[in-house]
Amino acid sequence: MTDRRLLLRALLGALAVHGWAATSPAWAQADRAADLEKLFALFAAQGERRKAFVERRHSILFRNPPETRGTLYFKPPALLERDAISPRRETVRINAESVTLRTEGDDGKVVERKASLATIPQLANLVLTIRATLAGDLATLRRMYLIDMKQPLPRWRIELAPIDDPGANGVNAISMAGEGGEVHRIEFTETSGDRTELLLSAAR
Amino acid sequence: MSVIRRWLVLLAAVVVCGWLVARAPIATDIAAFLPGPATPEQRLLAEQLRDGIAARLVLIGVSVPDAAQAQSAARVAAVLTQRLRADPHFTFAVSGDARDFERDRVLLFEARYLLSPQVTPAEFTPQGLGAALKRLEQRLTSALAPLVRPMAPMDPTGEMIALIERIAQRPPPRTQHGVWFTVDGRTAIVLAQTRNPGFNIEAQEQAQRALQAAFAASRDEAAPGANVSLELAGPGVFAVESRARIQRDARRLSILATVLIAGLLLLVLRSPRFLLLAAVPVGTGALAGLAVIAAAFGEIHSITLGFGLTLIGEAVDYAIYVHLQRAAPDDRKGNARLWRALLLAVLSSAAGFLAMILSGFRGLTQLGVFSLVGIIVSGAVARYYLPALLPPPRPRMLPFDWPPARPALQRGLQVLLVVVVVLSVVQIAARAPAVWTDSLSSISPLGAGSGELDARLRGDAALPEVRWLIALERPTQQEALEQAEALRPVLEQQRQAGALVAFDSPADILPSERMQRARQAALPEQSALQDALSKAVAPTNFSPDAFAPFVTAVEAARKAPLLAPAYYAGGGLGQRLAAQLVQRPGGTTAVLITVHGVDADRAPQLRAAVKAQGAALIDLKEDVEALLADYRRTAVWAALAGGALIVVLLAAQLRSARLVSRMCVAIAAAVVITAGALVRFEGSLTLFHLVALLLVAGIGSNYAIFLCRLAADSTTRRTTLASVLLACATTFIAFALLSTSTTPVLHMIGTTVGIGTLAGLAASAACAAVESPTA
Repeated sequence: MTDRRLLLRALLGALAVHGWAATSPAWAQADRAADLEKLFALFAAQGERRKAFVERRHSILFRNPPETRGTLYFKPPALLERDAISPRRETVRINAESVTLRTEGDDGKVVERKASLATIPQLANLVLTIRATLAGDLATLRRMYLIDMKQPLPRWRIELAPIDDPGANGVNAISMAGEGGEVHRIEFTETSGDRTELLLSAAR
Repeated sequence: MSVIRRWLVLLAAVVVCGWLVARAPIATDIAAFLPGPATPEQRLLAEQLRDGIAARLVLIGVSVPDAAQAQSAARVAAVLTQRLRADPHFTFAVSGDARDFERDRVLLFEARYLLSPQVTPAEFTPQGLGAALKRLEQRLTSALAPLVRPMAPMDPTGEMIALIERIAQRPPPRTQHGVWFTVDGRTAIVLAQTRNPGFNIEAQEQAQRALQAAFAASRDEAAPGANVSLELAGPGVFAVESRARIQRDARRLSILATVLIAGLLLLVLRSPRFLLLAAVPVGTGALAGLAVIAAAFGEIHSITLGFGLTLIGEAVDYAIYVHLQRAAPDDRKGNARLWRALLLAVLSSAAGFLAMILSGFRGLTQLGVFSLVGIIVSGAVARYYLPALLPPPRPRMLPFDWPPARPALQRGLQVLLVVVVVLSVVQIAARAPAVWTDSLSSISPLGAGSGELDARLRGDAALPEVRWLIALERPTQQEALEQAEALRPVLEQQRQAGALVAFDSPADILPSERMQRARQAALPEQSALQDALSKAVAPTNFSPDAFAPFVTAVEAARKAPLLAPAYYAGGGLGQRLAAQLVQRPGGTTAVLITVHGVDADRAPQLRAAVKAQGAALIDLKEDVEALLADYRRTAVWAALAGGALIVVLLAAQLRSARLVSRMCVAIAAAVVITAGALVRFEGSLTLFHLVALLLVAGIGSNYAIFLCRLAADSTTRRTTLASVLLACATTFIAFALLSTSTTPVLHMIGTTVGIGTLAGLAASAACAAVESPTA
């Protein structure tokens, strides 16, 4: 399956780069900071984009991690749309502060609900993080997280640790990996112990 | 009565009155000038307007000139909220910070099995739990998973979600930088609640001063140097603002009027001593009026103090009449004439004030009693004490005579007046159905437009509109809650049908004990739940032991004490409950369900559906206006009764049908012309115009009494004419000034009486006649 192959490629790539970085003590702090800024400049340069996504929840609640599939659309600076196809159709459109959720029930009836992002802090944190990353807005992300670049470009990996009150919004740590300006994988480690993996690839 | 005894009586009376007045508290409750309630719903409405939680609400807007500076506004609003929470003038402050709702959220979550409409025995069977788990898995793969996941082990059946969907029907307010914001992004919104009721204007004023100080400090702390401004709205804010405005206007205008009238009197009478003495009848009358109010009502209303003096300002005329028309002490016949005329003038004015007493407005009743007592005492003092103090009479005569030597002149005036009266009647008739305005804004002390900021902030903060309310009342709290529960499906049905957008029922967060017990009874015993859960989990992707906390939570809920209002005390839900579940003075409980977005076209069907359930839909705007119309109709009858009383008085005193009809024609013409002019220039009439028209009738009757029975002796006649003209001029000055006020109430009274004074003089002049020497 393409996704699995993709994941494998991402993991292998990450490992390879990790090995290289670990053996290069010369990759000093200053270079990392410069690299991080370069990376976010690459993110910003991507502009509007649509990606296929697979989301897996690794949780003690489940025997096997359930998967959600669909497309993720981002238009800078603040429009993020998550369009799930399976296990059921659901569209979440977040434009700046407003959240619109359209769900298709088992009976095929579509229910639409609106909310303000700030009233759902658990969601707000994830959305702000993903939006800031895809927009290449390093300043915003730095206000929320301590960012550590674990592996340099081109096959990069970064880790984000919440600055104040870690875990307040349900997330303990975030790690991201990719190649060049492409983000391939984001993983959220939640306070519940769950890990949510978000894998991104070219939309078909 | 010897002279000394008479003065001792006056002195003693002044001391007693002074003592009574000095110890009476001054009331500032504006609700006194709202109509008194007639039906139980109206009583509830009036109570809520006066003392409800909503009446304590202050809407605070923290604005910046440009949306780009929104962050400054947000920071100031957040700091201000914290400061207000620490301020003893306020019991509650909130600005949309999600953390503020966390406590309420926890309370709801803890009580979910007593609150959720989903809790039924069927839900906890293997089939019911199977369906719930399927729903849960869908939710955990949805975008909202981060929201659902933390609750999932404790609440796999989704009671919390069912509960939130039920109590949060409306979209939440717009939030920006963690604070509520208006749609234009320039104004951050804070809601605060004062400790003291909205009608306590003194306390409201103190709270607003504290708020302004807190704002200044917050601005210096959170955004020093930024251009951040403060706007306030809400019932208490309006009350303070309107009182300040009325006081400002009244002070400015009364100083101006005093200067102008004193100048005129000095110019014409050239007697500084008279100027001082002219105040004696008014002063003693006012003191007596206040003393009677203090004794009868237990308090003196600040509005009575302000307006009362205007109303009995007519008593200055008495001093003028006495000073100018007084005959030589030995001219018994001449003096008797004057005293009889004065007595009639006093009594006819008093009859006019009777209508005010009967108006049904508590405030107007007090004003009427004050004026009635004040005018009678003023008249008595002018009659029995003033002559001894006045300087010797210095006759001032009019340079011309009236009725004029050439009858054609008076004839001409009569024809002119008939034409004007006809025009007035036509004017009124043409406008007939719309002559009266009963809209609230027409009598609001601030005038139209004052509600705009309130509406804007309310709309943007998505606060329930205050316009629609469903009210029900039952002997006990439990019965009231049960009634609200019975009403719920009806309202839900109306909501689906589009008659309303949302409603907030207190029974959703505090179900009746019967309902809570029924839900508790639906919860299975631990072992039974465990069995059912195992069966339900087996075929799913969920781990067998994923939901152990759920089993524990259900067992705890089975034994939990039932919810009481105290459960929510101190938070936002507690505030909401206090506003919606109201203990009435009679010991009964009222439930107030706020309704949002009522479709006016479907309001009648909603009203009928609600009524069938023993509750009432209250439309604050229409119901208050209907109430005003009721009172206006009552006031019209009272006015007519007052008019009839004036006629009876005149008839009893004068015993001459011709004379009485002459005077009545003059008084009626003055009132009709004034009303016609008001309709022509002001568009329509309000209750305040009506009250002022009574004053016109009273003043007009004074002129008619003197002019319709002029002395045969030319000197006496021209003296009388001079005194009436002078009295008319002083009255006109006072009320014409009042008509320049920007406060609608003052403007209405000033315009009405200003026009009425001139119309009254003209009408009396047209009807003027010389007494036949034999009379």
